[in-house]
Amino acid sequence: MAVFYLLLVLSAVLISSLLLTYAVIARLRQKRETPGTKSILIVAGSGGHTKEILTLTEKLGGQCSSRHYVVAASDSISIKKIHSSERILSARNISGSKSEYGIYTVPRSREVKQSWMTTLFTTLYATLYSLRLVFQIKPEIILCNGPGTCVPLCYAGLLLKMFGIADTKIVYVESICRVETLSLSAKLLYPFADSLLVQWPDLVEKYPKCRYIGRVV
Amino acid sequence: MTGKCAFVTVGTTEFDQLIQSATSSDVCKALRQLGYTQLLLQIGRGQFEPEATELSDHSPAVHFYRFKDSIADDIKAANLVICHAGAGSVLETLGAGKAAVVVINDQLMDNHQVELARQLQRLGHLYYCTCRTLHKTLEEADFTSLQPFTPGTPTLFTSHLDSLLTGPPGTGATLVFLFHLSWIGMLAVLYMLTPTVALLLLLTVSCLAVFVFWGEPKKVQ
Repeated sequence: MAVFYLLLVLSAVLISSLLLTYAVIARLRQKRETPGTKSILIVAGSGGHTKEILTLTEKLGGQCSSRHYVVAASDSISIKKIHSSERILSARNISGSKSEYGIYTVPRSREVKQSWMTTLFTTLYATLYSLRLVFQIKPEIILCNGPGTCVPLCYAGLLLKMFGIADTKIVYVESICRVETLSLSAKLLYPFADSLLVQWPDLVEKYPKCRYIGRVV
Repeated sequence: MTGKCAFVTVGTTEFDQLIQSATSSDVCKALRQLGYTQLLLQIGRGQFEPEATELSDHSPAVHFYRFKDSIADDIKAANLVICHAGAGSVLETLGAGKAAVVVINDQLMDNHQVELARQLQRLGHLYYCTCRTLHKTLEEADFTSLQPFTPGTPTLFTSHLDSLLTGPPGTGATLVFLFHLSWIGMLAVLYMLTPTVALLLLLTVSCLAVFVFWGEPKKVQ
């Protein structure tokens, strides 16, 4: 029994130290390899959310030279829209040859009409998947604007920051639809977001942590 | 013959009630009285298909289709756009500088899109109504008094992002330090109470962490 415990402890310590080393190396390498280039994770929700966020990213300058888009699985319309938006960006050729982008999918937490019992498991799976994606990309900025998919991704970003692997900043741009109240995702991210932008000045009075810098879409 | 054209759009969803209401005799009559000779409908996934009819004294010519890659051309060609309350359609219409009547779907639960329509009506950019009051709104609305809507300025956002990127780091090192201290502390306490659980927990977390870091993310083409 004692041997079993010892093995357990040893393996745990080994894995933890490996991880820590990896974290440090990843951090150092990131700093050395890419001076001046920033990676940004853009969460494109669906329908109107995608449209709004692409309006913002189309105006991005050279500061975010690698752009990672996340869409919900089975959302082919958004993928098409991202490709055409990227064509506009490359036509402007803002950051020369270094500019790159990728599109990734995450599973949905809950399909329409799915039962609540199985939702528990699919949500867990989606959360783990999001965690993995964010830890692999290690973005400097997570930009999102609404749908539920962005919440686990942002929490993963928070963990990334906590572990000291990357200095991730969470930027949430509230949809223009929200005039009187914040959306549920925004409320969930309210304590953690580094920057929470709203489109209507009235919201700032209600939620003082939000910022109104003018209507952006 | 080039008369005025009204365009109805429901976006990517379905909104049968709007299509039924827009092709009802009341609304057709109201549109005809306002001088519209064309009524084009984008009906989306809806079950209800309106009847395509020719121009007559009490109705404009009715045409419809389900989806197009871009409805921008149809919006541009129209004099009046009647649309669902989706932000995309509403903003696209206002951005094109067209008179808009937004029809709220009151059958949707917790419909926060009403907020936007109400706000934009308050600022005088459009009119909003429900399916039942559509013909009344068309009769009473004064479309010449609508204020032009200036689109937002995304560059404000990009400069905000710039200042965020060059600004100070989000969280201080102290927070990270405290976080690590706290989880190690909690694990130590747990180890004193029940070593098995603590070790299993550590192992699970380690496995999870390996899973999390392993490999490259898969890109979609």
